[in-house]
Amino acid sequence: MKRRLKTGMAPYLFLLPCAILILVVLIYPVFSGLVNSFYNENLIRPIAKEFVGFENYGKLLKDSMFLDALGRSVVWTIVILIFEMILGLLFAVMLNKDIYCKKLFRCLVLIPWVIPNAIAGIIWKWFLNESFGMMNYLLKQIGLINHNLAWLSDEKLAAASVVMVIIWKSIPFVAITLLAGIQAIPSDLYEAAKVDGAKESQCFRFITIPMLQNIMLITAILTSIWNFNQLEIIQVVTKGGPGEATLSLPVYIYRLFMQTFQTSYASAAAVMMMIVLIIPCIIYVRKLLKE
Amino acid sequence: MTRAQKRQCSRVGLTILILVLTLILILPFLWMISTSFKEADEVFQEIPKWLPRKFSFRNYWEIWNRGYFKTYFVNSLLVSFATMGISLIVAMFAGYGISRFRFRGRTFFSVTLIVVQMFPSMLLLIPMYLIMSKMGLLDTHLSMVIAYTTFAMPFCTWMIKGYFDTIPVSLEEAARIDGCGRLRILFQIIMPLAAPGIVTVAMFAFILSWQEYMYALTFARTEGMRTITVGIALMQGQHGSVNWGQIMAGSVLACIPGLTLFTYLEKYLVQGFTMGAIKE
Repeated sequence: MKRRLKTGMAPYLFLLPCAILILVVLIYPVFSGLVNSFYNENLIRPIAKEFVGFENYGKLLKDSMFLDALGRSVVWTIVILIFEMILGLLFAVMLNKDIYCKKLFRCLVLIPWVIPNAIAGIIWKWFLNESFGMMNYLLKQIGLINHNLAWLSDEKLAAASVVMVIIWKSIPFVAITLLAGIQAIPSDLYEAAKVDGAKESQCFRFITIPMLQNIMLITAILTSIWNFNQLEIIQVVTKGGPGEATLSLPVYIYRLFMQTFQTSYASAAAVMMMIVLIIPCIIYVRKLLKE
Repeated sequence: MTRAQKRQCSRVGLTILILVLTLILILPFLWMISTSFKEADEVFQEIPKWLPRKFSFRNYWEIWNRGYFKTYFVNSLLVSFATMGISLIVAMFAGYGISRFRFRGRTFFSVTLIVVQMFPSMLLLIPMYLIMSKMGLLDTHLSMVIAYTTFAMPFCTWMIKGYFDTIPVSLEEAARIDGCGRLRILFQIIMPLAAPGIVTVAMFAFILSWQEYMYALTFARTEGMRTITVGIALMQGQHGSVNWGQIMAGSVLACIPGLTLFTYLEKYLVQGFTMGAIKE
């Protein structure tokens, strides 16, 4: 340790390229976006932009579409979190059991994760196709429905479909992370419990879950931040439609930006999004640094 | 029943259970593969079948030769390799710096690396689009490489730092006594030792870039500049009716790099994202 202290300039030189890159491609754009959110820039209006202070933010707080999109995003993130955690934990526990072809199953479970978001969106669009898709056919086969459902053009179903796709895409990451967590639990804990006559369900409740708490929290925050930011899947599957049924916050901002070119207004909405994410971010960083 | 038989039974039962669960999970994926091998008339059936009448590679052949598809593929390869190269080089130096030195601002720098990965992509996309457009870089590979670096580079740095941490400092101390400079140590001692780790990180950077959709969608203004994810996603809704057989064949092709590399990457996945939050 002591020898490492006499370092002089060397560490800074090693970090220099990285620091410059972060400044140029990350900090500077975000900063300029922040500044832009106080102007009234609109790319289809040929007049020079002016400083308008907090006007965009004031407008946002009265913009019912923004508030709806924000609410939708928050609710979806929570719903997705609940399902991905339950299903992810289920897969993790199963993969940790004594089964045949363990390695094969671990790979298969990862499949949704390795498919690019946009491609996952396309696949699901076809899977949920009203007339020719497999989903309707399978549900009819097992007798859950008796006519084809319009998964992507019915307002309520479209929201459910999009949430379902995002859950599907998140399960592998949760499962594999929790599996690693489970495997890191010292086995003597279970042995001691067995000696004391604990049942398997008790072991799960009083050893596995408490020991997993930390990693579950980190996974929950990380995936929730990703899911809250999820644009790609929704943009491919429904583009926020039908109407505004699947208009989550990122999709709304993307619309403001790419369809009506209100760059300043869209930037202000993106800043609001960052503000929502700050608290989970702080918890995440503190958790990671403590380890 | 003996104890061994009982154990065998529960093992079979559990395997069947996980098999069913996994099959349900990958149904849409299997449906994609099945559709990609079907002939056009078979794709649009009221009563869909899991197995194609006969396995036909026609969709693959047609999509490969259709319009700009090959260009999409090459674009994706170019952008992903360039992103990988830049991120890796920068990450190698920075990773070594954080791993081997204790200096003022080390924690600050580490936190910055984590925090920049949490930025909402929208907050970056809009200003970046404006900057690219001002610099005349829209619709170029370079704009995508720059954008992809924003997520690939911090991730690579964290992972590489993790690998360097596992290499004992005593090895380089010996070299330093012999008068080796820091750079020579990095290239001649650390890098060969961390080679498997560096390869893993490179693959991650490649796959992350290959999968990207949002920046490519926004920055590519002409068809010849689209990456594979954008190209395929925009194919539906184009040219009248949607040819799902071809699109599914294209999707399979787009999944191949991820699928081939992930069996190898699977064990590093956890380490990469949670950065050692699990102690083993």
